[in-house]
Amino acid sequence: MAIGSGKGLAGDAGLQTSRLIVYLFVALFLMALDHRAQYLNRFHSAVGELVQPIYLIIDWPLHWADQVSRWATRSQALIDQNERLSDELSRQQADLLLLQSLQQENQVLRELLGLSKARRFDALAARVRRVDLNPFSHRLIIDQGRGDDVAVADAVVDGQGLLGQVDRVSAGSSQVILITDPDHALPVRVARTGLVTLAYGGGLRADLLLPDLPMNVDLVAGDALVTSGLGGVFPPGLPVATITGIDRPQGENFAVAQATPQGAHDRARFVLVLTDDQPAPVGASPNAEDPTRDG
Amino acid sequence: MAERRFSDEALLWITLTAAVILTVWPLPELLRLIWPYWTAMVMIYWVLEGHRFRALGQAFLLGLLLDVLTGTLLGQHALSLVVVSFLLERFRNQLRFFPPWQQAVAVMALLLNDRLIQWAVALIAGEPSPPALWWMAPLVGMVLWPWLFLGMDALRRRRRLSP
Repeated sequence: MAIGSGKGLAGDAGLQTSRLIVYLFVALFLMALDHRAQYLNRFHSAVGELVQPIYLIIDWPLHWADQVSRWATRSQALIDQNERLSDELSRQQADLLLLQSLQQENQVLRELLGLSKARRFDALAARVRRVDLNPFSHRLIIDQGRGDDVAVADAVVDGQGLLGQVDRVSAGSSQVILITDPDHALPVRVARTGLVTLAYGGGLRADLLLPDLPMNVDLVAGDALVTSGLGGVFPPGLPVATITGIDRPQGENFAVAQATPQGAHDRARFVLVLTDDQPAPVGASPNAEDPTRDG
Repeated sequence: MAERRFSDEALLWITLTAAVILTVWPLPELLRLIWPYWTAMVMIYWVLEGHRFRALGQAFLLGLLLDVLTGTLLGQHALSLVVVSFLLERFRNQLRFFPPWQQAVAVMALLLNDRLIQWAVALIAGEPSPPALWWMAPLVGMVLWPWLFLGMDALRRRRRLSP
């Protein structure tokens, strides 16, 4: 049997090498195509459905283990939590009432000024699936998909701030690219000074990088970053990150600042997907809106 | 004979599925970096021992599946697994008769080669280079290899004995 299967023998070595070269070229071609443009989105979403069961196989046992441990929680702890939460809820409801009146006022003012209506967003709660993708990319899988009206480029937030945006949508789940992913660029505004710039994902080493600041920029550690709303993907004013430090390297043209996101990226269990309530404003081309793959 | 063939086949798919699942198993950050390349290790076992999974196309498809699963560039894992499969096929006849520890060193070389490929791809794609700990994964793979090998052998033997 071993002799019969002589693929590795000397006579076949040349054939094997040419096969290798063909596969290498196909792989390189695919990578170039995937990196440079979004030609392969169709393929990704088709094959993406095939790998869903693998996520489920991992996610379900862990999810049920969580549920079981929750059933076993002592009732006293639950009562405490309940009290704390209803206290928080009543405070937030008071805030919400104020917000509603502000919103109405804002709408009236916009009409007076003849501005287009502000975009409205619906929030959709989603659970983060417990799977880890590769260490290079910062991505999450959530359990809401096309069937739940999630669309590509929807913003994803948690209680503290912006997490990222939906990148790929399958039938029952979606992939979220986090703002810390090196492929992600986010238009931000410094809350204190109003300076508008871009925040790139820092990959494994830093959380967020702001690499194109002028040398004399007025920015100090502790400054808050919010979304600027430019580009039209994210609603303006969402909290994003806090500046942790700024470097002004000698001989370079730009200063570089680092920032830490407000949202709990690696610890988030539940997130909110902000789905568009109305169609996007006219005049914004979808290509210009997509800040991913900016490199 | 036919019986044994069937169970080997079943075992091949079961172990490969397990390896793919281990690839995206949730882990703490540090462990994630040194997490060995399970799919490659299981594939190496089957190429070496099983007379199975020896075509480059199979390695390529498995790699594409991993790419879609882990959200890397399409073709990154495919490239690395095809290269591993090719090298393995070249040196298969020597590697098969190495003692386990020597085999483990060879496996580490293969896994290190894979890290080099992934690093080169990341570099060309403009991603930041990984921390030093990321390079430790082949070493972890080497330490685990004899156990993986013995475990898989034991599984196969048990299958062979059972009717």
